[in-house]
Amino acid sequence: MDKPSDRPIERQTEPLAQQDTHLSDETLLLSVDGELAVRDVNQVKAHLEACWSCRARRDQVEESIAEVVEYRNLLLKPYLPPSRSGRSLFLARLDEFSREAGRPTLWTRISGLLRSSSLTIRRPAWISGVALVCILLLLLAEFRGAAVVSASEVIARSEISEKALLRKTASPLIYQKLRIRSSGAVLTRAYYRDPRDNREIESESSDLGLLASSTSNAEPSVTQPVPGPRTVIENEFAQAHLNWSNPLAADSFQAWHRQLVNPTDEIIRTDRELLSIRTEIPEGPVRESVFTVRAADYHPVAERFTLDGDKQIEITETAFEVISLDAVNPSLLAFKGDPEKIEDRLRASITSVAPSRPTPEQLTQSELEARLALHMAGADLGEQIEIGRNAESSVFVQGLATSDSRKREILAALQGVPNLDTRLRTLNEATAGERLAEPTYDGEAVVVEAQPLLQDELEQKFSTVDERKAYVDSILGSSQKAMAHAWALRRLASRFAKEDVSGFNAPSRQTLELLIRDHIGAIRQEVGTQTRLVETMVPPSSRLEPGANSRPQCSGFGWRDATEHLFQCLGEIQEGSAVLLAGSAGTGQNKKDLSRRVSETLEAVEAQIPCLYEQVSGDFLLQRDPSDR
Amino acid sequence: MGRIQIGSGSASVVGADICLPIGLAANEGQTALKIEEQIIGLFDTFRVPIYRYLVCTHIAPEDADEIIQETFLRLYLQLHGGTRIENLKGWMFRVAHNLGLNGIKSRKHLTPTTAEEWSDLVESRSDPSPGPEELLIFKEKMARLYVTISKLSPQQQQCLHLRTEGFRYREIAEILGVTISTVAESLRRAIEKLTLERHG
Repeated sequence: MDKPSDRPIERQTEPLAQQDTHLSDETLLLSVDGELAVRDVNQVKAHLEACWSCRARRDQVEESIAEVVEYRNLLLKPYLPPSRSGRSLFLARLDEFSREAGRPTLWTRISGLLRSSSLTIRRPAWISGVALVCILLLLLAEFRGAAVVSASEVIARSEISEKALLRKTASPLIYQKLRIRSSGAVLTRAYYRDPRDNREIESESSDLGLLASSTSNAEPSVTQPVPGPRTVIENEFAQAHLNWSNPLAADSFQAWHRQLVNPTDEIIRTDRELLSIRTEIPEGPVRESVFTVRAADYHPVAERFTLDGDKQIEITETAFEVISLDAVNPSLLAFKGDPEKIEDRLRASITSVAPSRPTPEQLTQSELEARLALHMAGADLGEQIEIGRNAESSVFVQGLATSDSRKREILAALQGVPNLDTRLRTLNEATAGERLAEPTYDGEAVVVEAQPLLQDELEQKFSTVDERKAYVDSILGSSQKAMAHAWALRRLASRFAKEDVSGFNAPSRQTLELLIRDHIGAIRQEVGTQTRLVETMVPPSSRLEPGANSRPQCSGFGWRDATEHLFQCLGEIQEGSAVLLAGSAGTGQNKKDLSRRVSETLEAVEAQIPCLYEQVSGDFLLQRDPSDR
Repeated sequence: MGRIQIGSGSASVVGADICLPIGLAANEGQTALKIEEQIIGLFDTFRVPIYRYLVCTHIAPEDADEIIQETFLRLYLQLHGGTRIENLKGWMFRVAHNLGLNGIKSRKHLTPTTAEEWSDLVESRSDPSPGPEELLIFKEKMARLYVTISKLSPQQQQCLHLRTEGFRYREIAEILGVTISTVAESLRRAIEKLTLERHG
């Protein structure tokens, strides 16, 4: 975009001094707006003082401007102030964004430093020159992948990152899957590790087939008849003094690194997403190691060790997840270490867990945060996902995700919610295990059985099948979405009774308010879409007479009752639309009556929504419902 | 329009121009936090003016909210990346304007769509205190304005609304990506049509 100049508007006409006629409209407007060139200001002023005609015209311009302002204020009146939920949503998104964006880049820091310094210090040119050269060198180093943090800092951050991740789940269980390649053999190891009690279950397979499935397998199996890949690789681990039981972890790497003699570390940024510590070791069985972490969260994802004789051990993480201990059968997890101390450990774990049990307020906040996260991921509109409490110790989110990517999406949305256990499974995972409960969404499915009642009108309005299909899909889709939001709203109303809400703290109330308002906003949008679409088929004459039943009844009932009523109405609309447009079980119904009924119900819903908005404004959760009085 | 000074907390209006000296602290965490605070301060200051502009340009309130959020998240990325923005207010309006323009075909537009609907709307929103005659005059005036403004080109309407938000011609030109002369001409034509309609 060309940047406009800062100069005031130059009039294209001859100078005012040479004019003996009136001021142009352009000059008048520029004068009113204070946009005249300085040289013209006094002349225009003098002309206006002398000329009644131009002054009257200037006043007309002023009146027109005043009218525009008045019109604008009227137009905006019902839409101001903007909804409070917009701010809350923005803060949530900003928080998420800032976490994703992470730390500022080196360039940001350098340029920021330079700018802030340049504001206060006047330095000779040579200092600026030296500074510039330094910056260029630093930038060059940055582009070449030079260190931005030290090796010890990377390891420390990696450890902190894992601990922080574990703190997010009440009873964490680490699931990690590794592929280990060495001496031509490939071994896949999968662990479920309970970091608190140091117990684990492990299974492994190799490219030669399943070798073993064992518990507590820090020790090699003595019954292994033929040395297989596991034995080969494990021997190499022992030779290199590597940790076999926990091969890819920050603390394992640090322990190994500490015992090295004169190592040389270098940090390499392999790409935007990964950081590696390359260590050269002059003495010992390992010549070089490369420990790679994700730049975003310093989570270790790969390791490579080059041994004497150019042998290489490569460890790559193929899966990692922190899940709830409740998601697996605890009896499957075997204790490592001395079995005689199991009971002591159990006692210790029980006593150490008891004081950290979350308070009811914290659980409520966690539940609402989880609901908000699911809402943001669109997972509260009928997906088979359920939220509940684990005996007042944590909140659980369980259910079935349609695909692995959807599962990851939902888990990502729930990341960071405290006191939360997630038990999500994909369809494939579920079919391998127990059957899940039937979906709780009680919206009726649309069954196409007969010709739509409005078939003739559809054919008349839309000449092609595709157009008809697109129209019907749009209206039924919109109806379904409105219904899904109403269903979610009704669930919130029934889950959080008036008595519950009265005990909520302010953040919990605000989260619930945000959810409620957001669902209502979505319903309003979908209903608006439906109305517009319906109008194309049902002429206004057959709709309600203006004024009849269009004034909302905003008093007499609370938001919970209004929600229930809205849900019923939307159900009727959905059902009626399906009969009219998709031929769902519509036999025996009168086309005209049904059209009118759908149209009237839609109009009534449209009128009801502003009331509902009114009912959920301010601190409505603290107020008594009108029906209580 | 005032100068936006970014300190440790929220933004404040103190002068004539807008600039954002990002004094990046040595501590990265504090820096990130500082930018976040700045963004929240700017959001609280400019959300309503941008919202007003978007709604006036026929963007539905919920879409306007979405556009505003997107605008400020983009601003966050810019500041986080070290970009220096001279005229913050203008930058935000320009981004919001472009986002609104990009999504205009897919977005739901603000009602009303006909003069009759507008007339009904005026009646429902008018101050009830004036008498029937004054109300009628007011309704007629607003209906006339609705028709006239609806007939203006989108650019003329945008210029009017941005001018109503207090932008100077140079700033309007920057936001819309046109020359100052185009802004002046658009406003002249718009005011001319409005004046002509009023006086027959």
